[in-house]
Formats: sequence, C-alpha cells, structure tokens
Amino acid sequence: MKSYQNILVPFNGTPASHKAFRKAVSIAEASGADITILTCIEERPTFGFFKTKTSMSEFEKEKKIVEKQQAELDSYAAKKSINCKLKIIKHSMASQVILSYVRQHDIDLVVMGKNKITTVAERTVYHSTIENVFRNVRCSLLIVQ
Amino acid sequence: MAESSFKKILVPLDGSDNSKRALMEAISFAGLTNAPITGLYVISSDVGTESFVEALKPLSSIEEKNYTEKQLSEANGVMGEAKKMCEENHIRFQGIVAKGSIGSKIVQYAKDHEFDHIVIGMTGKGHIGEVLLGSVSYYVIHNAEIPVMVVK
Repeated sequence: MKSYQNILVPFNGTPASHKAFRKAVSIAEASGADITILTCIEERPTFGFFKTKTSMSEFEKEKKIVEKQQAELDSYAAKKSINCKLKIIKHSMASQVILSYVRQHDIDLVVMGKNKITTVAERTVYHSTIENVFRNVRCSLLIVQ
Repeated sequence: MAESSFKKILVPLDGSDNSKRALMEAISFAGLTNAPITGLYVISSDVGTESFVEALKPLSSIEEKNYTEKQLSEANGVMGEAKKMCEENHIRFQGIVAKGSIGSKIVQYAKDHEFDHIVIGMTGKGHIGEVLLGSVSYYVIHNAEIPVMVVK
C-alpha cells in the first residue's frame, strides 16, 4: 500500500485553498505525512515597470499577513499532531514556484484548491496556475473543488 | 479522516498502465476508510481517444461486425483485472461499462451517482487526442464538481 511522506499545499488564502489544506490534513493524519504550506507572493512593480521602494514595503506588509494566515493553519495541524513547514517565496509566477519546490523537496502529493487567482504574466503562457502544475508536475495531484 | 473522507471513489479505467497506477492509489485511499471503488470504462466512438496504432489503421480494416464485441470484451478484460486487484486488497469493486464521449461521461456519471472523489491517470491511451484536444483528465479536472486526484 502506498503512503505519502511529504504533502505540499500551495496556499493563497482563498476558501478553496483552505479546503485543500483541511483535506491534506486528513490525508496526513491517515498516512503520517508531513505537510508543507507554500505561499507565493507575486512581485508587482507599483510604478509602471520600475521597482520602487514602495514595492519592497508592500512585500513586507503582505508577508506579515500571509505569515499570520499560515500560523493559523499551523496551529490547526498541530492540534492533530502533524508536522507543518511554512514557506513564503517571492516570485512572479506561482506555478513555477510550486513546480520547482516539488522537484527539490521530494514531494509525493500536491493538494491544491481550484480557484481563480492568476496573474497576467501567467495567463499569457498558461490559462491558470493549475494548468501549468497539472501539465508538468511529477507527483500525484489532488484538486479540491 | 473526519470531514473529508473517501466514501465513494470513481476510477475511470482504460487499461493503460497509468490507469492501473491510478487504481492502486485509489485502493490505498479506499483502504483507509473502507470505501467501495467503482471502475468506469467508457467505450468511445471518437478516434482521438484510441491508441496510436489503432488510430492509424485505415477504416476499411475495421470489421464492422465484430467491432462492438471486440470493444466490449476488451472492456470486460480491463474490469476483470481491476476487480482482481481490488479483491487482493479486500476492497469492494464494481465495474461499469458505458458508451459515449469519455470526458463528459465520467463527469456526468460522477454527478449522477454522487461520488465524492475521482481518481484518474494523467495520460491514458489517447495520445492523439491529447495533442489535439487536451486529455481526458484535463477535461475532468475542469468540469467535475468534486475533488479529482490526478495520478502520474
């Protein structure tokens, strides 16, 4: 019987990703896996194409919000005695962050919520974050609606 | 596994290795909650979902008489194999053979019979369809209303 060791939950704060997280927790409970929560904060130049100091402080602000959300999830998992790793990465394409993380960290299951946050940069290449992950990921993928 | 347990699992099968891996994964989930598995084999009239060798054959080489029987016996063979795999792992299994467009049939069947999960292989037999149209699994993840697990 196959059991999972490392589950990755790409988290973006939407209700669907909360659902995905709860599902990942229930799978982790049954198979004794560790969970990694990964949030990608997208780089958005605030002033045209130029990166300004404001975008740096915006990032810090956003990071604080995400950290708080992730801490909530962590305490939920801790109640069920599941190990949780929290990760925040700054990048312009969420799907690439997810894919490279899977490649580097021996992830064997990705649990994702299906939702509609896609940046313009990503949409020009793929329709959605999920589409890129679906086409290129090497492990199993669970999509929660 | 309290709130999001696996109660009724649908596994679309086409006899490819990938669909067998999907079945194995479904079995391991079903084992956790003692859920039954339903295998669904859809016979399609669409050439894009046929295997490469099959699709390249000239139409005249298809014997009309035995074509349906041939497809049916292939479907039953796949179902028998799946049933054996489930029995070895003590999982209840039900095999369904249906006809129609593969993607929409899977989604419709899951909706009609109130499944809570679909476990599907990433790529099946339909290599041609995958290049031209996008794969069956792609259709399913975008159209199903329940969680879908895609197995590589």
